[in-house]
Amino acid sequence: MADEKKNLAIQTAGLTKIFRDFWGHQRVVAVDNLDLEITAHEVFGLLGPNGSGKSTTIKMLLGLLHTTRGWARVLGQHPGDVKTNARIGYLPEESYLYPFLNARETLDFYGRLFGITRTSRRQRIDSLLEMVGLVSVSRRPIGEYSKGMIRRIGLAQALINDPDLLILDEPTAGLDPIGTRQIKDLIRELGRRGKTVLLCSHLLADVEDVCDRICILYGGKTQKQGSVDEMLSRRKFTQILSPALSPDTVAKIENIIIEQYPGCQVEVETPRDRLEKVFLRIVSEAQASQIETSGAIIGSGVSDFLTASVSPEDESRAVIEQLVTDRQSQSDLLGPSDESSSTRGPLAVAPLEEETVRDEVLESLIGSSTTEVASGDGDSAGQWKGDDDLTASVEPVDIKDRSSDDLLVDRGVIDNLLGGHRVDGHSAPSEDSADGDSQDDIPPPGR
Amino acid sequence: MSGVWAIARNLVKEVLRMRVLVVFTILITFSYTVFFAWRLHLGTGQADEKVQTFLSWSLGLAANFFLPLLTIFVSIATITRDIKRKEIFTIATKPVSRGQYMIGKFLGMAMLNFACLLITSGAIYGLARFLQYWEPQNDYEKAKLKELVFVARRAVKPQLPDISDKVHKIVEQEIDQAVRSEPETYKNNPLRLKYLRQTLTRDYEKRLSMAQGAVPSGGHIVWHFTDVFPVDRENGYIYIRYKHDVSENPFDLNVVNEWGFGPKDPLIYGGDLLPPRKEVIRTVHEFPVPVSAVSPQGDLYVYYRNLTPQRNVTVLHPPDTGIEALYVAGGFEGNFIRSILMIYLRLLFLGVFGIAIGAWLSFPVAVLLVLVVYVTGLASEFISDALIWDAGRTLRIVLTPIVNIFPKFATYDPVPQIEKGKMVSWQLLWECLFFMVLLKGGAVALFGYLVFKFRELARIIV
Repeated sequence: MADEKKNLAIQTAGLTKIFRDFWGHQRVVAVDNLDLEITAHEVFGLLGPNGSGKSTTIKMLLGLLHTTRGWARVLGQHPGDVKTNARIGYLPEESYLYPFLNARETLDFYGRLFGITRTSRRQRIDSLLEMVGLVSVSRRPIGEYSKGMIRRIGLAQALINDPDLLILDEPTAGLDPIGTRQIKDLIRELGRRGKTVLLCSHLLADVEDVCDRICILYGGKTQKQGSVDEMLSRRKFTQILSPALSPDTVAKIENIIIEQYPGCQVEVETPRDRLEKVFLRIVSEAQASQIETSGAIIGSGVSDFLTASVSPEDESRAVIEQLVTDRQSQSDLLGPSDESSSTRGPLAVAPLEEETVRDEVLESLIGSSTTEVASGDGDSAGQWKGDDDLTASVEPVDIKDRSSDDLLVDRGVIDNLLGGHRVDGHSAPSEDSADGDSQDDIPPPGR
Repeated sequence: MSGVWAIARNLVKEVLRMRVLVVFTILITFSYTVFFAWRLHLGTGQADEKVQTFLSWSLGLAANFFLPLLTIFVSIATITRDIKRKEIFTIATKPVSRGQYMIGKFLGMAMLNFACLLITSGAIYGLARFLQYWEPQNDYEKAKLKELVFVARRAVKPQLPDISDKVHKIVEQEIDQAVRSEPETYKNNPLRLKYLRQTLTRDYEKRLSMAQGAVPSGGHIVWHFTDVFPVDRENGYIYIRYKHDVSENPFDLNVVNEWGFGPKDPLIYGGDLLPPRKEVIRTVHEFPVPVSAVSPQGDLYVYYRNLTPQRNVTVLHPPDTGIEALYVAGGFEGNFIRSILMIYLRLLFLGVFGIAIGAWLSFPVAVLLVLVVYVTGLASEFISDALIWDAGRTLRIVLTPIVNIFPKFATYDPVPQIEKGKMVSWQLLWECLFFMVLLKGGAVALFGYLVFKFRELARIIV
């Protein structure tokens, strides 16, 4: 029990908030008996429609509101504990920043509140501005920014202290698709680096793509809580993606299925690309051709100073990270080699490239079995020409292209090296894989 | 500490970037300093009167109006805006306690007040010196300026005999008479008797103290000043400053006076006598007395005789404003700096008060409350006197403690002192620091902090 408690970043029990009027009459039950346990290093999503109590919950966790009943602990302390705040980064639902300060001054101000030294502060400010794509407008007052730009600088201030716990309230609100994609990539990367992220949103697609576990609120009450995979997998169905088939072939496949499973309904349709993907491709091409813009640009990769918090079970991961860094410094990873990666923003490139390098490192560690899988003929995921026991640890996923399969297999190897821990905290299909070729992409279920 | 400093700097930046406010403040400062000095320069009047008018108006407006208003509005706005626009969320979730936040705001206000006061006082000092060198038409005016305005004079009131025994005797007589004439009212009612005693004591104290300074036509009086120690014991003058009041107005509103002075009682030992002269009633007058008239022990005797021909005109000298001796105890620059420090302490109190109140009230309500406290504090002496002398018992019992809680801005107002070339003493400065800033300001700050500490910053009013 003590060990479990040690790993909890946020814990609430019976958390309730009732707003009363001036005369003490109960007017609004914003949060009702909420029990939450958010473990360290996970990305947790708090979902719900408007007025479901998400922001109120977050405000109670941060000490901005008192609880009416129940209790909460954040990083083991009472909400609002001043010392604990040094380890928390908070992005409110609206970025409440001083309009008379420019971006640099804003980050400098918040950096000073954390007691960060001048040199370190300057480095972080430069890095964060580059990350959120606001370097060219860093000297303009925040009051002149668009909503999305304000949101970006709000995110930057939440990260200035390299927090262990990041609380994001509607982080993608007001952002364009580029920004939304960057935020999601950032959250994934931060989760991968060991941060705990509490993400609060009513934009389901955003939460689905990045969270490990979610809790759905309605009327201040928990309606459902669990891992994304558990809640979204439709295990009663199978989806197959193939190149375009002739009507005869399709009919034959349908007949086979109906013969095997009489009475079942089979749907066959042409998959559609996601609009987000097309948009990002077009904008990336525009940026590559250096068309002028006075707004935000696609930022750089995640800032280096946003380190993982190392726990004993992550030490082995740290070894691999170090090996990856060494290898990366020797090879040229920048510059997309094919169309699939050219449409990705730089932020999205980083994880895939690191994984590729990591794969190479692991290849050298593990030996020929990995190489055989990588050069395989595209058999379905899970085929492993080495130890069959290793494949048992790989969870079944949707069919992806060969490189993704290899990554998944390699990830399984990593897991075993690390004692069975997953490297990636989320189980949703990654959007880092092939953006440009829509035919290889698997449409989301039901679309 | 870095958080406190960051919040303080941020406040200064916020104000400096309110361009409209900055421009408005510069225009206002310009108008009551440079423009006003220029208008006086072009006008008529004696040099010392011009400079005194300039100092009185410019420093008075700065110390009692513009700078306090600026402090009140800015100190309240900076914190109410943070709360209303929820910028406080991103600060309260940082490793900065609410106390540090308030201290940071106060520090920022202190820095801002210092800068504003420095600029304003620099401008006033510079322009006063400008008038000093451009205005005098002759050496006499120059000397008057030097002796009466650009100087720090200590004021000494005459020693008056203790009247408490006399008052007590009279009051007891009155009470005996009242008890004998109305035994049913007073014999078995000690509370009523106590009230009667208080009322009579207050009344006779007032009358007898007025009577001490009253000189009937043909009569005379000798005042004894002690602890008169001018800086220059060989040259220079002591100034006797006085204002006559009268029991009945003379037909030409003038009284005829004869003045004398010496180190010992002139009636017994003789002294210097000035020629008789006519002087307007209810107007402040001064005449110089050479320092040789002061004994080495610091004693000065001043003799006055009422030579007004009208028999029914008794000249009155109230104890607080009747007569005082002024002597040079320091330089103008030191005095001016002490005055500015006192103004600064008053502004510090207003800053603390504004921040403490703004932490839990909305902007308009907080401004109203602080303005009420400020105006009451400015009028505190007048209100206290009215309560003591004219208010009913119940009202006095209820209101006197409340008035005493208010900060005494009138008591700690250095402008009348500077205008008259009177010394702003270090003792008064320490009293201002202790009673106004530390004691009352501290109490208000503590109250505001406690309310702010336990306040729900994200609270919505349903």
